[in-house]
Amino acid sequence: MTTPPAPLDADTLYQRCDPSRLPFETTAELQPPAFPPGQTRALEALEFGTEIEDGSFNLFALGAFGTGKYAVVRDFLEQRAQRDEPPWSWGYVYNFDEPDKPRLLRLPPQEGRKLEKGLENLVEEFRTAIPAVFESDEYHNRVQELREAFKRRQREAVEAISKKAKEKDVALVNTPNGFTLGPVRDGEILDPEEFHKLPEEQQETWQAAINALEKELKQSLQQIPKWQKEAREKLLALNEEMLRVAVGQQLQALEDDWEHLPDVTAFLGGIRDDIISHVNDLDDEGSTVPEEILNQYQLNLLVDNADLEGAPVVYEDLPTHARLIGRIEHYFREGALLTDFRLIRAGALHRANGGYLILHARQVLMQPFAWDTLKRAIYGKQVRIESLEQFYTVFTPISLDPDPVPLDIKIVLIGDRLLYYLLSEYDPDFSKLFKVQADFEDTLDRNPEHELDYARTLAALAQSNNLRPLDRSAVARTIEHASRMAGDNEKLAAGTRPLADLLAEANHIAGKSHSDTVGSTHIEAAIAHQEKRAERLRERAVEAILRNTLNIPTSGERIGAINGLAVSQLGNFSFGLPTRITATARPGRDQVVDIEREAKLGGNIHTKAMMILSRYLGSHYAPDGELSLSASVAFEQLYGTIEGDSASVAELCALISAIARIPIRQSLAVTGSINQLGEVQAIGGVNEKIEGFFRICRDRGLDGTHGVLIPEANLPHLMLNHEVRSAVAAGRFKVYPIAKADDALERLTGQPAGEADANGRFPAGSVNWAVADRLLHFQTVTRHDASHGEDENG
Amino acid sequence: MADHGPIVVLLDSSPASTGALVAAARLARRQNRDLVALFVEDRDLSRSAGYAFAREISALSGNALPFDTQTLTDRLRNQRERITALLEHEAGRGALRWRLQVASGGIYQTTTQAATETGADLIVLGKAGWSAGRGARLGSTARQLLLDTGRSLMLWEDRRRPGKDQEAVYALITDPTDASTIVRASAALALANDHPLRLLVSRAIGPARLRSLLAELEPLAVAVSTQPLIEQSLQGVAHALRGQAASDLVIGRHTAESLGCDSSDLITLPTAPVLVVS
Repeated sequence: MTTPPAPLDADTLYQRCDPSRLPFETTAELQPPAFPPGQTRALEALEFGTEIEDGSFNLFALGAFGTGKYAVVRDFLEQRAQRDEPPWSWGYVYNFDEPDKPRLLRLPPQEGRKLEKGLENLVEEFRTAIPAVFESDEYHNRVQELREAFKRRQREAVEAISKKAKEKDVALVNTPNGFTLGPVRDGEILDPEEFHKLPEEQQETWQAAINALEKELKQSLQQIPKWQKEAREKLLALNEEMLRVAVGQQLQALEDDWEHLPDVTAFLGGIRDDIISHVNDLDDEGSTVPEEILNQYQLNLLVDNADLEGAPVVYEDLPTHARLIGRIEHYFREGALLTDFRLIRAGALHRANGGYLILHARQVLMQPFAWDTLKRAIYGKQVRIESLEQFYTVFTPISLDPDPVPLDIKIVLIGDRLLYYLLSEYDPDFSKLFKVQADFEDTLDRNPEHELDYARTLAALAQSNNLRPLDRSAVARTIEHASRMAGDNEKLAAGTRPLADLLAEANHIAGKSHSDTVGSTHIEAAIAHQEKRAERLRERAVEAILRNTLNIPTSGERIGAINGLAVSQLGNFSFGLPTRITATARPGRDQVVDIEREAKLGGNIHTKAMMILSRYLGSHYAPDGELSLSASVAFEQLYGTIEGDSASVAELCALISAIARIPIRQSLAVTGSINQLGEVQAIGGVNEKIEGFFRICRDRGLDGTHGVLIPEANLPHLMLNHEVRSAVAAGRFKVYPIAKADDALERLTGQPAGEADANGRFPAGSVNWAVADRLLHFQTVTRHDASHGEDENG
Repeated sequence: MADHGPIVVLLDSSPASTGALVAAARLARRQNRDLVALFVEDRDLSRSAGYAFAREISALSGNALPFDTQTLTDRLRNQRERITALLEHEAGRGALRWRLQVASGGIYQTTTQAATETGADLIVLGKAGWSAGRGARLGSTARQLLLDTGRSLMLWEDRRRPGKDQEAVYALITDPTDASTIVRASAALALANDHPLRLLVSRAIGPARLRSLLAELEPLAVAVSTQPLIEQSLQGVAHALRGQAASDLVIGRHTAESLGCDSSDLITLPTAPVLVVS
């Protein structure tokens, strides 16, 4: 007979962090850690992904929710970005050749603002210099001269005819539409009647003179439109000359300033030509340039990197299509939607260009078209601003087609592992564009070095959130809590978000107690408050058990019934509770019925566990024959689905109890999974399960018989609360490690399990003997029934 | 103008003539004066139309258009009708005593004769009539009437588009001898037009003289301001008027002489009506 496993000492149930080993008084003395502890793999991936220049080596930071991926990525990128040069600034200017295609200007980071200011000044100077030139005396005199010259030419042409006419006694008379000619005598037009009285020869001479003059007049007048045109051209040339004078000096100064950037000087040249071409559009009164023309000479500084000291690190929390690639705004004028290059707005890709863009993968995938837009930008290595309306509507307002911005960027997506693997599986582009995975650990090893790093992390959290410093006892308690969160006394939970919440609450409690530092009591209280707020459902379940609404006996013995342990997860809060497992056994043919599965309440893993259990029964008790058993197992009063294999030890024990008709102690609860060889395997949530059963037993009264059987493999995971540990230390509650099914049977029945001898026979009086004996009886009964049936049939 | 004699406005079918009629009607109404609208059928024109070989040469195209007595008669009838309608319209805007006088003969002679017969002391006409369309800023009739020093003369020209500033009547005072006449006439014009008065005063008018001129205006309750004429020349006046919202310019018979320029140059300087005070 083997010795049943001894209960664990209280010391093994918890891994304390000794405050005296921490080399500081409070976290105020600590510097934040250089790197987040335990994330070497992810950091190396980040280092690699950001160093490699290939644009398709973008990164996906994956890990469990709350592991602080964003903070780590952000901190890393901000440090990395300081080593990079600030990237170009970008701006759009008016395209004088193709107005609907604004031209892109790439500018040194500091110089975008300078050019913007220079162009603003230029426009401002145009506003004053142009009217000043056109109001100058010189200009007016020259215009006057031009006008007078034209009028004089016109007048002189008419006067020359008039003079010639006078010499030939003909008068040139004004009419509403022009002129007419008539014979003159004594300074007046001769009366026609008197004219006709003149000798015919004289009439003819006069008429011939009039005809000749008329012809000459016609020729002269026909010159007038040409002279007018010439006068207009001269006026235009004068205006152009004046404009050149007005704008030339300022433009030349700017061109000299920007001669190192040909694109800029080309644009300035465009301004020069354009404003001259608008000479006829000047306002008549003040010779001012219309604002809509001046607006074309400005710079839309899309991305201004003048203030950057390294590469940009941008996080976009709402990565819509438009917020990623930018947008073109419109304005209403006279019922129409209009736009111009000044209304082009940058997106996150523009702002992060030359640096790093952080996006939450889930957010990108949730925004319509954002994922495709992002991929298109990475593939094309450029950002082209395209509105969704252009793609998906029939009628679109007047829009622009700005030059695309060349893209040189590293994109870091942040998301959980499921998302990463789903994208890898279902989106062929994903693995081409996001080639670097930065996989964040959920936990880190608990050792003195990491404990100190953890303390530094807590110091950083306290500092960044303006919290009181933690004293060493608070740090120690928090480290212990981190182990509990990891569910492992050899690990620490890597996530900072739950810690930040805990520290904020502890800080609040410390403030209420007028403490300058956060102590362990404040941490303890904060943990208790968090639990208290979340445990309403647990309390209701415990109450139901204590009032026997849920039938969970914790004393006495029962055949075919056992207390299993289950964990429930509600949001971030998980708790354990006992569940009642019952079994029945009768003769039959190699059949163990999983009632949960039959009722379609059992999951696949649970079904698998039942099959393993069934095989174990067969191989253990009927290695050479048929298992003549018809058994059933059920979780009583459980109305939801059940999943997992952590109840398989309990199910086995219940079945064996039912087969062998050996009662099981109800003061004990069991958890653990079993393999086909009867070895007990580790399960999850061991702490919650133990504490869950303890709570019921405590409320009913601990008498030293109560306890829990757990897999020996779970010993490193034990981080039980203080109350359980105290009860264990006082001998009022026990935790038994079990390595194989027989360990559980012995502890639960109080009888030896019994090891098979060389012939496969179990020692008499043992549990296994009783099982084998009953199964033999079942076999006999089954054979008798079968032969009886055959006889009857035969 | 102070003695409120009739106003003679000389009319033809030109746009300037229409503007002159409206201005003259307003002035007559405001100053309770008779308005004599004088329409002269030009004898030279009538005779020219009587020739069988007469043609009208278009100033615009140089083409020859038919021109005969019938065409001219029709035109004159149409012009008379238009003028009558315009006068009736102006009369409908307020009390206006008016009559249309149609005469035949030389325009200058007929106009001065009509002015003499009616006792008019103000003749209103366009700066240039039909010839304005051919680049003339001052027509031949206006030039001739400038020589007649017995009456005041208002030479109408459509103003430039008004700017933001409030318009004012500008009086150009460069000679002490006619300063008082100009100031009173311009004040009357300013009151008639509901405009303020701005005196553009040369150095030839000393401070004491200026004070006495302003004192003369006090009873008239007209808003007056003064502006020095820095340079006593045509350019100086051009500079002073540049960018200003002048509704009218009032000058004297001797103003051009005192500026050392030709009257026609001074009259054609502003694109606005000019009142030449006698």
